[in-house]
Amino acid sequence: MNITNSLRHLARFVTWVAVCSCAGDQSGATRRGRATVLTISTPADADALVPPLVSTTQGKQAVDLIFDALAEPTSPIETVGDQHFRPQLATRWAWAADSLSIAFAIDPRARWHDGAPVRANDVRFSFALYTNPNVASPQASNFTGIDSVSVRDSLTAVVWWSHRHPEQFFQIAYNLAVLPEHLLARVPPDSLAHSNFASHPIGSGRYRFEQWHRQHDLVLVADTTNYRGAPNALRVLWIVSADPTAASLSVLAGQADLLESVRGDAFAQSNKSTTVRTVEYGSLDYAYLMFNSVKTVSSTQRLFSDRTLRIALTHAIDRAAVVSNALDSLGSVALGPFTRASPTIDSHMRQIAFDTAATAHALDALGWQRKDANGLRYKGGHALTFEVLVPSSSATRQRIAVLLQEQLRRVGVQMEVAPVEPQVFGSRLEKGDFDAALNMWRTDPSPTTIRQVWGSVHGTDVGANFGRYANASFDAAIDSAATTFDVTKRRALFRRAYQTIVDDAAAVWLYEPRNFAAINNRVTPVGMRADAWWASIAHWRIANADGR
Amino acid sequence: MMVFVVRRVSHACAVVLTATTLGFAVLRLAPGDGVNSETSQVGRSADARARVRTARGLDPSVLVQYSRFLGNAARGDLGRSQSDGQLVTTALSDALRNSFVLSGCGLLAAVTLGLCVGVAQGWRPEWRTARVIGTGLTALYAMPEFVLAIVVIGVLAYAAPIFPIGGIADPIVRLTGSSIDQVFDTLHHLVLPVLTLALGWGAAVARQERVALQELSREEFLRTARAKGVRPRTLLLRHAMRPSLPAVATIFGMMLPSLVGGAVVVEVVFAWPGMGTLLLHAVAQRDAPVVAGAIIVIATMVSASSLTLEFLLRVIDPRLRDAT
Repeated sequence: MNITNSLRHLARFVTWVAVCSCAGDQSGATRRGRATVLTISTPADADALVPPLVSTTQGKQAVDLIFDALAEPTSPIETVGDQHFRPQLATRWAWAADSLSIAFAIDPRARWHDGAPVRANDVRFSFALYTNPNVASPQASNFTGIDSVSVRDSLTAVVWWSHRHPEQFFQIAYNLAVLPEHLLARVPPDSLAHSNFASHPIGSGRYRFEQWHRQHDLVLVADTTNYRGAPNALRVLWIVSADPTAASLSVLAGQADLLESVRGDAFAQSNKSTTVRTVEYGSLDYAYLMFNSVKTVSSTQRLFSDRTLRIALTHAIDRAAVVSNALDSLGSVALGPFTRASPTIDSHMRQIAFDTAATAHALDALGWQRKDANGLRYKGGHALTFEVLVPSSSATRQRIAVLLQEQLRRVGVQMEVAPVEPQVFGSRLEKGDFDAALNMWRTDPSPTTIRQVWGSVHGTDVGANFGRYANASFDAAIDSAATTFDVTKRRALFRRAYQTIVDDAAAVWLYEPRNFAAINNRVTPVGMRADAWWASIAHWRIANADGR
Repeated sequence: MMVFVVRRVSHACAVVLTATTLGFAVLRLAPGDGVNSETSQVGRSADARARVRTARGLDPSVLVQYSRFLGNAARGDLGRSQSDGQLVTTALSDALRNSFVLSGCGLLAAVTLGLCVGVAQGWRPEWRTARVIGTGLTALYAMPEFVLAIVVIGVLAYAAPIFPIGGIADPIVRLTGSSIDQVFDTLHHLVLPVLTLALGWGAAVARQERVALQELSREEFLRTARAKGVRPRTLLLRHAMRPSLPAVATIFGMMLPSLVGGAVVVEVVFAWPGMGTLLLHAVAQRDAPVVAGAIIVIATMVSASSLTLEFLLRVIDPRLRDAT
């Protein structure tokens, strides 16, 4: 490159910066390339792009667009039977007379992104991969009860169960992403995460993998010849922005099209903006004050095995005030261990009301008497005090902890707030080393998975029931619901289970965050499901820069 | 000289080994192992957690893990990231390159800015503009880095949308643009983080240079030169600048290690995938191989920069050459 060229480039850069300054626009190449790109600002990178290895939401977003499932749910998700599903990789399916198997007919037009046809063998292979212990898939337990997958012919895969249950179809159609056997058969299962496929995945979805710069960006490009049709957006691009302020500013400044969840000032600014709007979609998250019912480490943990005490503490908390104070309109009071997005909920469920007189009465009856000048209650020389763990990464929960602390202080209970780093939080929960914790849980679309979090612990596997809550009536109702095919009866059983756990004050159900995505006006989203807002991205309409 | 080099290099090796051992041990002994955390849904069953722990090589004792790590590291194999399976050497080399670019440009800009302001303040203390700039720079220096970064973004990327808010490059330009477009795009992305670093670090350089020049201006050799009619510009460039440089070189040497991992806040706010971001993410995920690998790189850089500084000072200041 000679000096003249260098000077020309320098001049071009200076001019370009000046033009950008005036127009706030981007270079021609960017503008042309960006015309139908959906840019998503995300707080974290994907953990993996091979479906059985994915354990984060960011990873799930990408693999759901690259890979196909056998069928996809309609919104809202009803997990019983197959009425609420539409074909995806399977064009149709047929139940066996005894309902112990379902034969899926694979769409003959379906092709992997490398051009090879998708076959029934791929379904069998994918099931084997998910359940292979050497793969160590965090999702392997989703397939419990499925015996095997066989191949009837090159386009028919048959899934076999050992026993019937209402969610058979959901279990296989929702959880299994179909993977290419011809590319993965020779990859040792324990090396899957390190394989070439893991960094350049090939699926059959409406988007192909294009590039991934870890901790920076991930780009998918439309598979324009896809058997299900070309998607509207030419590219889907995730830009990692760990700093929440910078992430929201990038959407407000028009440098990104979507931020999946906005809070606080960013929410207000998005609503005031002329280029960005907020769009609400359902939430599967709920936050709660979890009690540890079993004494494992510290002496105070024995407190919460007493149901009357748990109820008394729940009476002392004005949940509506707490939620309003900490979240304003961005949260709703939680009704129990489920969210309003679940089809099994009953929004009129009986709740433990805010009633400090009831708290005082119950604590007096339990022998916790007010003794010192601060009004703290004592029993047998021990103060009524406990520690609550809060992850330091959650400003909302830390704020809520302070509010709870004050409300409990008024009834003579001392709650110490212990903010801990998220890893320490997870580790202490798993070990049972806590009195109480402000936890948040993302529910599965299947209501039966509530057993993992609130079902009685058998043996040493606590699952995710870190507070070791146990109630035989709750277990029985959930077990019955899980095997009931009649949707109305099943819902009644779930509601009975929910009422049991709410009456039992297994936790103080605090809030469900309301999800608001900040979306650029040029994007028209459709079908933002609570479990996967991204599932219908292929159908979203993206206007060009000139508004077309 | 040879003895000096051997002594310093062996000292550097000890520093690297100690730092790596401490880093690995502290991370492994801290609660949490990245398997069960707030951000991951791995924790649904104890069985799933156990399988993932085995797959990530977390079963053996800390001592076994560390001895395995050291053995492999001696062969140049730093293993794989426990959180995403990427080769640690690949992750480190990518991050290191990005950090060098960002911090190198930041350091260069800071030294240039700091020297200009420091010289103006120290050599002509009566010049009001220099005083104003110096005061402004000190105010920026006092501002926490993340606040400064947000202010810079707010002004130059949001209120006046001239520069991109974050990232190292526009992925679309990388995919569709020419190589020249890509270079300009990277420069475009560099402006705000470099500006943030330069404003913060520049104040320290300016202060050092100002003090050095003010002290020198009272020296007899300068007074003599001035009395002999040497022009002010020559006086500054030939007689005053060189003796003032060791002070700046010292602070420059102190800043050199920040080429790797010293701009964590700026990297996070501007979504710059450098060593700081990598290390922060790895610590949060309890990713021991990445943390240990990063510590090896950073400790090596710190040792190398302190060694470089000593050599540099010996070159600038002849008095130090005779010192042991």
